[in-house]
Amino acid sequence: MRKVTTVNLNGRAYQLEDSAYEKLQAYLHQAEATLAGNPDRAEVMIDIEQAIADKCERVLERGKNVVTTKQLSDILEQMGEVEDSNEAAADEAHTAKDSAKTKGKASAEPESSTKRLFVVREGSMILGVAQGIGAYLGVDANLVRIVFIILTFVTSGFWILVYILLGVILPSAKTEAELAEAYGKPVTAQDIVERARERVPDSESLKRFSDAAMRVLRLTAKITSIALYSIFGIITSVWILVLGQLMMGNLDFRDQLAVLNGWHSWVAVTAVYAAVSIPIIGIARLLYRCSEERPQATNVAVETGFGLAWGLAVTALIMLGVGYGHTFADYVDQHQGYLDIGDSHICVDSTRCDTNNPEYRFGPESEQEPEFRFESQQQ
Amino acid sequence: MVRDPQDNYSQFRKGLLEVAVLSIISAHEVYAADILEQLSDTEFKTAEGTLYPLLSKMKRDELLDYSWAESTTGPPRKYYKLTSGGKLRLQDSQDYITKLTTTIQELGGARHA
Repeated sequence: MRKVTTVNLNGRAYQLEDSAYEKLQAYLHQAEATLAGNPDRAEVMIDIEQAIADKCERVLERGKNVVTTKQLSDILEQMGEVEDSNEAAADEAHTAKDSAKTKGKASAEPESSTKRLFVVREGSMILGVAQGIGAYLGVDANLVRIVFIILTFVTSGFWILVYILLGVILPSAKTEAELAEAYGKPVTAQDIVERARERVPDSESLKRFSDAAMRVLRLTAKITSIALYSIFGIITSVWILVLGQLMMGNLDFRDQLAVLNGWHSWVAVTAVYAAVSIPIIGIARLLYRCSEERPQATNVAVETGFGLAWGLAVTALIMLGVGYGHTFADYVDQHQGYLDIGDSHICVDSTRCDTNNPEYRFGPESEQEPEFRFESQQQ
Repeated sequence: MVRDPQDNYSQFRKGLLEVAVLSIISAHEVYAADILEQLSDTEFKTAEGTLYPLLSKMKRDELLDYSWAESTTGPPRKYYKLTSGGKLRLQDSQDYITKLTTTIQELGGARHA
């Protein structure tokens, strides 16, 4: 009895004895490595898998469905070693291979190992700077992170800027070869070929530049988005504060404006809050989505809800503005440009406010001024 | 191990394999398996591992093109045909080989004369 492994060869399943599977895997790996610099690598690999599948099909006798190690060896023999007909790359690879062979025992040793400082995303916490430096220095990334945190405190935060700068400037290790370079693993002949190809076209450096630019944009979008969320938080706190004051009766309109007390004032304050905060949260959400590499699909229900709420808020403000516009204007007229709320006198029309009059000056709740000025503009 | 006398010419064959493939496809449209089949009895006997990368390179050089043909067993197969560039290349190559042969003969002849 022997164990078998099922493989998918270009869409068809075949069962191979375990040692046959290992042989096949080694063959395909070898083929893939040989074709590393070939632009048609993926296509050729499919052709080769298909050819192997066809041969498997032919050797499977009626009633049998496992390809034996012997059969697979024969198949691979028929297939022959995969050769890259991309001459320049192939020649270079051969030369490297030959020189490795002449070295004999030395071929097992790394021919050369160069290390480069990369940003390494795999296993990173934020930008991969610590991961990259850790790889470069050959120390654990967590150790680097601890040093970073200490540096942040020592430089009173300046290190964060350096960190972001490093994250943006350093190239990101994406391909296997780059990752090998980042960790300073032995560089094989294939790596050399790949790197040589990489260095040639300008488009590659352009791509690197645009990658960096994208990262800057993403980061900017994320920071702006977080800032907007913070602003939203502050506005929400102010709204809750004002609403609380209104409900406790600490902020009351007097004289003709008394009609604005009670639920009218709550609606007005809430409408102003919604009209201002919904666009902010909308932009914040949009920016946050832009900052993600794979943005999630928009949730139509949530977006529609926000839109409706904003429309409602603006409508309420317009209606309140139209309803009380004249009352408000008359009131401000009679009070020389001031608005009395509770015990405070708030200037809502600076052209008429008399700052010399000790009766009228900015009260302790003057931070609420902008919300009421909004209404005064509706006149 | 006795060395195959043909090994002396492996570099020739390697360089001329492309011409041989062009020549096969020029006769009529073929599958990759047909190419291997036709080459198998000749000096250009080739395995898949060499042919597929070569075909993809020739496709990239716009010497040949393929279409997908349905197959009774398994997935669709690539059905290769020459492009006008491929036909031109075949003609040029054949002319060049003739010229090389002539040159070699003439060089020999010149020495004997």
